Formats: sequence, structure tokens, C-alpha cells
Amino acid sequence: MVYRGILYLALLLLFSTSISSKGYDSLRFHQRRTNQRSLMFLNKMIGKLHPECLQERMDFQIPREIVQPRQCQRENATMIIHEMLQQTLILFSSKNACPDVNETIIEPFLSGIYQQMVHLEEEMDQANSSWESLESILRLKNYYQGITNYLKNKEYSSCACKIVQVETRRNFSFLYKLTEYLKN
Amino acid sequence: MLLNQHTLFIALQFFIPWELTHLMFSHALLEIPVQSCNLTMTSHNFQHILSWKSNSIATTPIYYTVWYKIWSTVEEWKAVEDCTNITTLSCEITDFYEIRECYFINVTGFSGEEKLVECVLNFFPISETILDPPEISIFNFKDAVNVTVHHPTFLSKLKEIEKDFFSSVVIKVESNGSSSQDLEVEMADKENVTVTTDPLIPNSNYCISAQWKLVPSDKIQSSSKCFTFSPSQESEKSTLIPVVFVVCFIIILLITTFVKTLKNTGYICRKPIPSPKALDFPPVTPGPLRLHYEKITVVEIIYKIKKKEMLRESDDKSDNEDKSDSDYESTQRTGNGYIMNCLTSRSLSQDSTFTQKEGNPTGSGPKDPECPETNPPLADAGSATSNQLKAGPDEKGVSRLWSFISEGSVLSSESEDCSNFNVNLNTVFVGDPGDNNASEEDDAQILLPVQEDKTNLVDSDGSELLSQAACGKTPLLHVPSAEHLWSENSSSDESVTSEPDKDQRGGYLRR
Repeated sequence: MVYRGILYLALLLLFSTSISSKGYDSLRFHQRRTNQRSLMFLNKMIGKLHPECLQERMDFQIPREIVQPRQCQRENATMIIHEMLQQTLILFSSKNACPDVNETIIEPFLSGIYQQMVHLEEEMDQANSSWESLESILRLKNYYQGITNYLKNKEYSSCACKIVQVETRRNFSFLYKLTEYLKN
Repeated sequence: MLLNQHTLFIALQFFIPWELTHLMFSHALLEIPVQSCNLTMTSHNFQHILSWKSNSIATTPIYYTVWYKIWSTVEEWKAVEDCTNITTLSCEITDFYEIRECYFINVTGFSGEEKLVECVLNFFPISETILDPPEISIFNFKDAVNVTVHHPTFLSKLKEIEKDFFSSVVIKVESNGSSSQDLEVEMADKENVTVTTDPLIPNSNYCISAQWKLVPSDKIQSSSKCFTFSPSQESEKSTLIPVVFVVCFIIILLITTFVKTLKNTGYICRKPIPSPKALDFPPVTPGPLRLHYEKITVVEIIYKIKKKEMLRESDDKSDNEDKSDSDYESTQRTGNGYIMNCLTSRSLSQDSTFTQKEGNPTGSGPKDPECPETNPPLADAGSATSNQLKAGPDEKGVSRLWSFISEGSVLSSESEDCSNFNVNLNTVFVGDPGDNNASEEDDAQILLPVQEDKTNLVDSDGSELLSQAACGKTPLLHVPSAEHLWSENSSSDESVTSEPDKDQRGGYLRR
């Protein structure tokens, strides 16, 4: 009886691992596509940058683990990516968002981000959050809060929006490295 | 401003000629605007070449300088080293090490201290550079192909952290009508990497392409190499070479074994076997029997026929003499139908001995020579004829004489120096030629010729007595005359098969 229970438990763990591994492979594939599409939309949003906006530049001090991600577990990478997508979604979909942005560009940009967030949330329910991932998420939250404050201070001027769009495009280029950790 | 200028103009009309006034005001009123230019960035594999066109009509040369800023930082303008105060309208920018940053580029053209040209451009390298796909080489390998990905050379222009984008390559193997293969290759630092595909279907068309896995750029050129997979030639070649090696090895092994066999059997590399010294004979034509003479002694064999009556008469007389005067002794040995009679006869010369030996001649002294042992030659088994010789009346000198007597067999040998002879004791009488007491009328001396002549003496038995010339010195054989020979037939016939006559009367062998 005991041996049968152990056998069932082993089979359950084996199947759960196989299912989760299959889920992360699909997650990685979709994340790559989201990254590529987001970059494309952001390039279109930015367009030409005027030299006058150079005066509006701001060093937002993105967390170092986003610029140079270390080897981390797929659960931590999932949480970090999800936080970044979520903050980007909030930044670009607020009612005070940059007014000069073309809707034909911003809407598919935001819908793609949202769909990827849903995929990430499905995997996040089964993952165990670690202390390191929580620290990274806190730093990310502070980072995006600074961007929001900047926009508010600049009153969502066109140059300020351009600056934020350039920064967001830079962040998605960092996501390429983090996405590769979404695997077994 | 204009009112003051007009006032000044009117006032100067009174003091300065009109032409000069006109020139002065025109220069003051007109500011040469800064001309803009069209900046064009051509980037290929992160090799950035900036070029511009100026519409300036200035006659003096214009010196251009390229400046840049990064949008995510609050740094001041930076000038590109190789693009400072240049007169050309293009420049290669090598300072953009961070490919994920957005650069703001400003080109200014000065003539002296006057800015005549100015133009700006935004540039995002990772997204705007035209990247070539990874360089690959394809080689057939058995039933698949080997794909070698070459290390990109442009990575030297990038920052270390930026190089991670090019650490992974995806190789796609596509075929018409069949599923494709995706191979992920992790690039090593400054090394080429080779991977092997899954087995491919022969005589099928395949296209192999490689892409950067992590580069977030939509301007990556794609190129694929298409071919028809035919592994037959390669497999034949790959299987033919080891077969050739195996065949050559077997052939070499067989040749080596054959040569060794010939060597062992002595067909080749035969070494002369040194013969024992005992077999080193002098360079003399060998003969069946050699007689080594120290000195030839004349031996007289007296063929004598005595009647029984005479013998009986002399028995009484010679009984006593025989015992003491018997110099002749005879032993006989038989074997294989041959009778070897060892005749010891007294030599004519006391100092010499006549020996007949095979092998080394040994001179025998005054001692009685013993009969050397010799093997009788093989011959038809014939009846043994025993003869017994008795010592002759003359006791002086002893010589031995081997004789091989064979009935019906002939032994002969020809030699210039040697003589071989058979003495049929049935027909001969061995005695001392020097004995004067011997009967003269019954003695017949036979002097063997010196030449090499055969003298066949046929006795009454029909046995042949072969005698040959001795080697220069021949023994003397006393043979009876023909009359005596023929008269002995009856007596000899009687004694041919008889047992050895032990009658030693008179010291003669009598038949």
C-alpha cells in the first residue's frame, strides 16, 4: 500500500514536470515573438527624435540584473518578465498617456503585451517565488515608478514621451536575454 | 533695429560713397543661415558609415565634426575621434560599442569659426544595422551533413555584454515534403563550431539556413544553401578505403608467411652447414675401399691341391709343428652370406706389415695385427662357405688380409691406386712365398700385374676370383695352374657347403 502511494506520487511528479517543461517551451516561444513585435511597434512610435528633446533626457537607472541578467531559475525569470510587461502596460495605457501616439500602433502593441502576460500568469501559479526574485521585483517597481514620476513632472510632453518610449524599447532588448531562461 | 539701420544708412550717404555703404549694410543685414544636410547611416554588421550631403554654397572649405549623445544618459556631446575636422562627407563611426542604446548624432560643418552646416540623426544600432546571417559551411558526413558555424568577425567592435546576442545560432534544415530540423548551436569564443544533422534522405533536396537566435532585429538577412543530398559517393569512398587497407594487410601477411616458410625449409637463404671435421676427406677420388699401405708386402697365396693321402702322411709330422709354428690364424666372420676371412699371413718383410683397412692406416708392429672389424657388404644370401686357414709353415711375417668372399657375387672396384680383390679360398692356397720348404710342384705363384687389369680366375666351383692390380704394389696371389684348377673341381665341390675344415694339417686350407 505504501509502495503504491509512492509510485503514484512519483508518476505525478514526473507528469507534472513534463507538463511544466512543455509549458515553458511554449512560453519561451511566445515571449520571443512578443519581444520582436514590441520592438517593431516602439520603433514606429519613436520615429524621428528632435534635438530639442535631448534636453529632456533622464537616467532612470534600470536595475542592473535586467541589463546583465545572471543565471537564474525559470520561475524567477517568469516573475521578472511578467512585472516588466505589466508596468509597461500601465505606463502606456494610462489615461494620461502620451497624446501624440498613433492608435494603430499603440493598440496592437498593448494587446500583445497583455496576451503574453496571461501566459506568464499561468505558469506563475505553479512557481515558487524566491527571495531573489522578490528583490528584483521591488527594484523594478521603483524603476517604473520613477518613469511615471518623470512623465508627470514633464506633464507628458512630447519629448518626455519620446524619452520614455526610447527607454521602453531599450528594456525590451534586455528581455531577449531573460527570455532564454524560460526553459528546462 | 531697422529704423536705426535706415538712419545710419542715410547718414552715411553724405559721408561714404554709395557703393561702399551698400556693401557694408548687406553684410550686416544678412546672416548666413546654417545649412542643413541629409545624414545617412549605413550600417552593416555593426560597421557604421555616416555620410551627408551639404547644400552650402560657401567657397571656403568646410570642416565637419561628428558628435553624438546617448538618450538614456545625461552625458554631454562626444566627438567621434576619426570624424573630427574632416573635409570629406562621410565617416566611419567606431565608437558605438553599446548596440542597445539609442544614439543621437550631430554633424556640424565649420568654416573657420562659422557654423555653416548642421544635421542630426537618431540611430538604434541593434535594430537598424543590417546583420548578415551566420556564416556556415556544409560537408557531407556519412548519411548526414556536418554544418560548421564560423565565428563572427564583427564581435570585436562590440562591448562584452553585447556579444551575448550572438552566442546562439539556430540552424534550420528544410526539405521539400518532409519535416525540418532545428539545431541550436552555442558559439564558442573565437572558435568555429560544427554540428551534425540527423540522417538525411538520399537524393532529396535540402536547404540549410542559419539565424541568430537572440538578436532583436528585423533586418537580418536570411540566406540558405540548397543542395541535393547524395551520400552514396561519400559512403562508398568511406567504406572503400578501409577495405583497401584490409586487403593490403592480408596480402602483406601472406607474403611474409610464404617467405618465412621458404626460409625455414631452406629454399632461400640457405646457410652452408659446416660438415664435421671427421668427414673432411682429402681431395681424392673416393673408392669403395681403400688400402692404405705403409709398405706393400708381397703375399703369396699358394693354391695347392693335395691329396688326402699326402695330407694324412704329413699330419703326423706337422702336428707338433703346427702347434708351435702356427702363424696363421684365421678367423672367420660371416654375415649376409659373406665370409670374411681374416688371413694373417706373414709378410715377406719383417718390418712391414700389410694391412688392409678402411680408414686410417695404422702400422702394426711386430705384434700380431688383429682383424679389423668391417661390415660385410650386403649381398644375396648365399651359402656360407667356411674356410679356415691355417698357419703356414713359415712363421715369419704376418699380414692380414681381409677378403670378402661371396659365392656368386662379384665385388670389384677400379682404382688407380687401390686394389680390391676377392679370394676364393676354395681354390687358393695361402702360404708364405718365402717358405722354401713348401712344395714346389704344387705351388703356383701368381703375380698380379701392376696395371689395372682384371684377371678373372675361375675355379672349379665357378666362382670367380677377381683380382685387380694393386695400387702400385700388388700382393702376389698364388693360383694354381689350369690343370690344378680343373682337377680341384671334385674336391672343391665337396667342401663348398661343408663345415669349416678344421684340419690344420700342413697349414693349408684344403678343399
